[in-house]
Amino acid sequence: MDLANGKKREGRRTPDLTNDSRSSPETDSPESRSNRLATKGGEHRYRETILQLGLYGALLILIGFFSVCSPYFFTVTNAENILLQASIVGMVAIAQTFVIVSGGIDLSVGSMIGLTGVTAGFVALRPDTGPILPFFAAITMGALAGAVNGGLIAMFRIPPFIVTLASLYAARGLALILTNTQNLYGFNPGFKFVGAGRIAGFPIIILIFISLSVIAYVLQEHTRFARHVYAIGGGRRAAEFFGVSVRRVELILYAVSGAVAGLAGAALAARVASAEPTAGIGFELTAIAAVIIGGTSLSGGEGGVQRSIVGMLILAIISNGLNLMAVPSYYQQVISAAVIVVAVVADQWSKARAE
Amino acid sequence: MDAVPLLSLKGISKAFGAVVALEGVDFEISRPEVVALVGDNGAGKSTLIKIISGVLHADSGQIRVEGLPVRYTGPESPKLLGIETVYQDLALVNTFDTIQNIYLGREITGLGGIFLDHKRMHQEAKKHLTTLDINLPSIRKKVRYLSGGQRQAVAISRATGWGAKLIIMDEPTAALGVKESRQVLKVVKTLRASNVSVILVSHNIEHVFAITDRITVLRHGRVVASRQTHATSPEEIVRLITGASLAQ
Repeated sequence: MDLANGKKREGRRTPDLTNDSRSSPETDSPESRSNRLATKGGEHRYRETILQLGLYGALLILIGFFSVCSPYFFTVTNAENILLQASIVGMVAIAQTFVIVSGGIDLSVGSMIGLTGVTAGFVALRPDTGPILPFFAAITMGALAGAVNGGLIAMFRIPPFIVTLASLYAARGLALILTNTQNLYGFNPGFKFVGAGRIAGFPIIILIFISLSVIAYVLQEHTRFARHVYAIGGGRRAAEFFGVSVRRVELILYAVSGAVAGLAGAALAARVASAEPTAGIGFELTAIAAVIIGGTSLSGGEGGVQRSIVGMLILAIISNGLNLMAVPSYYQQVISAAVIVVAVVADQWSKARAE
Repeated sequence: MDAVPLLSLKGISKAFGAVVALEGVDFEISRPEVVALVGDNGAGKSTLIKIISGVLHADSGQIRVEGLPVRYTGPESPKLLGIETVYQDLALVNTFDTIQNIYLGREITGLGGIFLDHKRMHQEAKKHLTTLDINLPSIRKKVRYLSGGQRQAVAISRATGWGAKLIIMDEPTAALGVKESRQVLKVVKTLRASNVSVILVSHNIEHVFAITDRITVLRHGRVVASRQTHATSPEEIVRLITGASLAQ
């Protein structure tokens, strides 16, 4: 107890002393100053590490908790259920991560899932189109719609929140118009196989999600493009000043977000063997929640897809576990909200004295 | 020193509407040389360095780099000629570490320019920081967690990392404590020793006398004097800045 208090007090004292030394630098010995500055930075990194471990810790604790509470939780079948549940929204959460890291937001992905789902559905109604063509059509439609978002944001400097809020309505409306509000079903067997089939024992949907995760992580860590996405979110002016083509990066970013929503839309239509113009309502919010729970900052510049995937898994596990314990879904919503609040508070704590 | 000056400005004038910021300014810097640009607020220092760094266009006058007349088309032009600027507000990405900041916008890539070459960037940044004798607690730490002096060092090493011949520094010690200022001044000396010239804009006469070869004084948009540092005194420079000797 004493130790904890001591640490807390010392943590608070640091900024005061820094201010002191600024107002009267002569009285400050250079050694003590540099030591203190080192401590200041050091402690922050330490907090960031705690936060990262905390995220994975929370995942393990949840798994442990539900394993004790329900005999059906810790089974292969249930793990598959959780992953299937997490896969579709997880895909858009991955793309959303990059958008949020850039300092933007994409509210349109839920509606895009509806629009691209029916696009895939129309193509898959024909018996000779196989599995690839419907997916290709959905991804193209998503990329085009996303490029419209990106174009408006990059060229006309309209805030992403406004642009994607508008396309949230536009895409949903378009999906309803195209289908005359009717669901589409009776797809070709190849397309349905993607939704229900397995390769080497694993459901194809899960394999798509895992592949997308791995590709996104590699791109995030190793490409110049991703580096620029982080730069725009962390210091837009500096990025512009040093020759990063901010507009180009934004255009590509929102187009990719749309394309991934297309992949998710087609995958969802294949999985439920029905393309519904109302599919994906609210998915954008779940995806954003997953990103935030993962600790990616809404102010941009920090975070990563690996964290959002864990955030997505946490949400899926809570929902699945509470279902197994027969807790009504209204309670689940409240509990998910609490998790979001805890995640944001923890994030604030880790950056409390960053300024 | 070379016979041909590294940079020479002749008759530079600039007006913003009716306000004349610079009028017939001549300025020269050789290689290597550290020249201070001093003057009161509104004397035209900022306008002059913005013209040298290509941010502003002069209304008239000529700029020569190594004896050849040049025409800037924007802030990129001087960079291509080896003239880099470290701005007062630093222009760093706070969420990036030192290496990421140094290479922002000019990342080293392999495999068709798409994938980053982390290893080479790390090695070369380390080598570069060693050459400049800059000590950072960790080059992997986000610059947001660095002190003011360390951030300044990162900004300077970014500017100097590309074979620069001339570095323009706008008030590099303005927000720093004693020890940190000393660090920055040391870097300026190291740069000079490695044949890089520095134009230093500063209000701090003590710092100016500690590291410069020459001091150029601006007042009301004109160069009123340019003195060898060893042949003048702080008192004289202050008199020149304020115009006290003329008034009396």
